[in-house]
Order: sequence, then structure tokens, then C-alpha cells
Amino acid sequence: MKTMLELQGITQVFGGLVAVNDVSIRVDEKEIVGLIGPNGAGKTTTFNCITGVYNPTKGKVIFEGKDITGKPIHEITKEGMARTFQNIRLFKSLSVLDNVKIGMHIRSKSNLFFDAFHLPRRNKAEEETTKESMKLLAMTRLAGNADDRADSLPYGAQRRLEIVRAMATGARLLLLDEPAAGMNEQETADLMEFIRELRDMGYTVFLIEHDMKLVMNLCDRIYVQNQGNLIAEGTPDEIKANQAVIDAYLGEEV
Amino acid sequence: MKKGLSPKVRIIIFAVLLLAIVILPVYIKNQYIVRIATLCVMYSALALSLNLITGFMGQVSLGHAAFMGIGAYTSAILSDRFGWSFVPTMLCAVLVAAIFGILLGIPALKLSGSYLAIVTLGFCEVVRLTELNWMSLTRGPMGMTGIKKPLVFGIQIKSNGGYYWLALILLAIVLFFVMNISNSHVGRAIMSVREDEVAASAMGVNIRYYKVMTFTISAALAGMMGAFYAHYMRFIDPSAFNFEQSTSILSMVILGGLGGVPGSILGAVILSVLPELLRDLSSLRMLIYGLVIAVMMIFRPQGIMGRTTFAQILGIQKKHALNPEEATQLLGGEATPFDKEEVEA
Repeated sequence: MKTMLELQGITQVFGGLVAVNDVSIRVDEKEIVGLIGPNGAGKTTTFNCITGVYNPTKGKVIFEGKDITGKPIHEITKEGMARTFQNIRLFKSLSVLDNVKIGMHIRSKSNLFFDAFHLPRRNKAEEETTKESMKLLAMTRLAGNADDRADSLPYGAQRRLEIVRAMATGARLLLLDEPAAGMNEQETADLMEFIRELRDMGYTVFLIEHDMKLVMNLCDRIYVQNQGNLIAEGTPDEIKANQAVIDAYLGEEV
Repeated sequence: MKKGLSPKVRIIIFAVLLLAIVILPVYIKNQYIVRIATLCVMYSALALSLNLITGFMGQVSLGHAAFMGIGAYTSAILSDRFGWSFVPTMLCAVLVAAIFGILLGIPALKLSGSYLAIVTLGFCEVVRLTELNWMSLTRGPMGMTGIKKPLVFGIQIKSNGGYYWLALILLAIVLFFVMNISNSHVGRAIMSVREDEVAASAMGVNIRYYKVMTFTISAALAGMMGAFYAHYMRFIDPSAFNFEQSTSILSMVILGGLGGVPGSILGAVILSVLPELLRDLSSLRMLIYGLVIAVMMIFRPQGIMGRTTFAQILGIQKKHALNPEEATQLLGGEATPFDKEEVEA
């Protein structure tokens, strides 16, 4: 299988605090990989290093064979990966459709000149963007809410919209930061189904999650981070049996 | 508002209103009113240009008068020294103001909120003081007098009506650009900066590029209106482009509605007409003016019209929402992973 994303010894230091310490992770194409660990383990910081929010102190981020370490956030999105956030960060006061359309920003064939003069090329690009966005919304059962304000959606739907917005960028790799946080059981079950569907559509998924049912059922491989360090890597069954993980995070009787 | 009316009726009312606005100098013989109407039009254009930065991009700018002043001085000086006619001097005003827009856009990359407001305020003061002290170029506090009446494509503007129509044409240009930009790919990127910068850049929006771009476009449009101002008033001095002018344009945007095109026009009209109505109460004028804004901020912080668009007023805005059957059809009849669940509206 082709390697999609590779972290080579990523270290992120904030002042005296080593938030991420020498983390190496590999995500292969069409895999669902999980990153778990207790609060404050550095999982989101690891994500931020991958997506360019932080420029890692040490180490390399390789995406599809290309070194993308230290590139600005928007450039990394152009390479073909997109993320969601732990605390939902939708464009709250814009419509659901506009949120997805902004996701399609980098794929638009229009630019300032065509937009400002309202030229045919702008109209064509706009039409394509709208159609493509509506398709994505239809696929995720959000088409009926296209004109609503993003923050008027129920919680689960907002989470889903954030994933849709990430898909809209044309990303091949989706990084989901706690997608099931705050969801009820039914919503989580739907989300699991949805993430499987994403893989069938050809997406690779790398996710941070605390919901063990989701992680253990969904992920092909799991990495466990604790106090900045990776302490284990393996299939769900291997992780469940790993003593270091049980001590640091899972506890007994899982 | 006019809730019950069908789009047809609304469009007719709108068209009649528009016609009444366009032919205003024909049926209004009172020159004082025509001059106030011209100010309304000019400030509408200025408010719209500022709305790009403050309303659509969500960055407070207290330096808008500076761009207007840069445009005004550029146009006045070129016309005075080289005898150029209005259109080329105006285009130069646009260009010079745009260059300063880039210069102000750059600090905007690092700052936001109150910090950016202070930088723009400082910018406004620096420009004003330069205008005040560069005697050889601007004649400093004496100001520039006898600025030529505009000659536009061979038409000499002389009457108040002529100025009014010139202002309307410029407003139409500003409206054209602001509406096209706000309602497009670029406009959405600008709004995403307002909504959430981190999420916007995670979607591939180059925040720096759009910030500088927005400042530049906004400055260019303000520079254009500055050129008009110079040739309309025929006298400019640095005090016309001070902090007070900036705040008054900003008040128009806030009063009318941040991020809405009709709102800016309404705000500009109200705040251009109000001081005239209160002229008899001149001692209380600023008090009433301040009170209006304070009351607004308490009871309707989104402004009178908020983000209402012309399409919404006319009832012709596009609906995109699809019912489940239409959605399935769009996907070519495929089932979706969320078939079980319905999201309530």
C-alpha cells in the first residue's frame, strides 16, 4: 500500500514544555488510523504540526512523498489534506452552502478579475461550485438545510458539515479531531458508518478520538500518545492488550 | 418590511424608486436639496467601500478618510499642475490610494481588533499631518483652492444636477464592484476571514493575500470618491480628511449594517441628512447624533438592515435547499449513509 502521510520524529516545544516528543507516524492510503491518548497528551498539537498551524521544532512531515514541513496552512490544504477541529469551527453566520463553497475555495476557477467584473468564467465557476457543494450536502443529508445558518444546525449535523467542508477542499486525506465529541450514541453510530463510507469513496482518514467504541471498531491501526510520546502502535486488538496503554489511558477491563 | 408583497410588485416599487433617485435634479428645483442628495450619494459610495474591510472582512478601520484624502489631493494636484481632466486624474487617484491601501494592508496581516484600529487611526493622522506640512505640494493648512470643475469625456460638469449625476455614476461603479466581489468566490474568502481565520486558512484561503487585497480595493474606491470630493467642493484642506471623517464613515457602515450593501447606503443617507435636519439645533446636533448611534448599538447592534441584500429586499434570492427526493435525484438515485436520519430544519 502507498504511504500517504509520514511523520518523522516530530517534536514540538513550547518554552520549556515538550508537547510532542519525537513522534513518528505513518498513514497508508485508504486506511483509517486513530490517534488516542489522555487529555493533554499532545494529540491536537501533533495535528497542528501536520496541518501547518505550528512549525514543528524538529522532524519532518512527508505527504505523498513530499516534504511539507513548515509550509503555511493554506498551502498544506492545497497539497490534498484537510482537517476538522476539536471545537467545531464552522463559519457560523454564513449559510451551510456557503461553508461548503468556502471549502471549495482552492478548486474554484474564478479569481478577483473574473469576480469583480462578473464575467462568464465567474458564472461558470460559481455554477460548478454550487452544484458540487450541493452534491456533497445531498450525500450527507444536509441538502435540506443548505440555506440555513451554519450555527442553527443541530450539533451532530454541525460536526458532519465540518467534515463535508473538509471534503470539499478536494482533500484525499482527512484529519478529524475528535469527530464524535459531544455526540449521542445514535449520532456516533451514524458517524462511524459515515467514516466507513468515506473510506469507500477513496478517502484516507486519520482521526483523534476519545470514544473507544468508535476507535476500536473503525480504525485499522491505532497510535497511542501519552505526555508527548508515542507509547504504542498497532491494531485495535493489540492496543487493547498493551499493558503500557492500559496503564496510561485505557485502564483495566476494556 | 414589505413582507406580503410579491417579487413582481417589489421590483416595480424598486424600479420607480430608482427612477425617482436618478431623475431627482429634474423635479427638485431646490439646489440645497440637490447638494445634500449629492453628499448622500458620495457618502454611500464611501461607506460601501469601507464596508468591504469592516463589514465583509470584519476588520475595524479608522483610516478611511486618509484614502479619501489621498485621492482628493492626487486628483487636485494633477489637475492644478498639469491641467489634466477629471477622468485621468481620478484614475491616478484610484491608483495612488490603492498603493497606500497595500501599505496599510500589510500591518493588518499581523494585527486585528483594537490593535488594528489604532494602527489605521495612526495611518490617518500620518497622512493628514503630511498633507498639512508638505507645503510645496499641498499648500498645507491653506488648502487647495479653485480646483477645476470636472470635465468628463468632453462634458463639462457645472450644475448641481451634473455633480449629482456624476456622483451617481461613481456610486454605480462602487456598487458594481462591491456587489460582484461580495457575491462570489473572492467575497466568500473575505467573509471566511471575518468568521474564523484559522478555519479559513485550513480551507486553503490565503489570509494574507485576501487581507491586503481587500484593503487595496477599498482604498482604491475611497480614493475615487476623494477625487470626486475635491472637484465637487473645489476646495480641500487636510481637516476634511481627519479622524472625524473616518469615524463618520464608519458610523454609516455600523448604523446601516455591517456586511450588507443596502445597509451602507441607508446608513450613509441617514447620517448625511440628519446633521442637516438638526442644523437649527446646532448646539444639540452632536448630542443627538451620538444618541442615535448609542441607542442603535443597544437595541440593534447588527445595524438597521444587518446583512440584508438587495435580492432579499426584492424577494428574489435563490433558494438552494433540496427536499430528500430532489437530493436523491441529484446523486443519481444513490442511497446515502444518512438515509435513516432526518435533520430537522
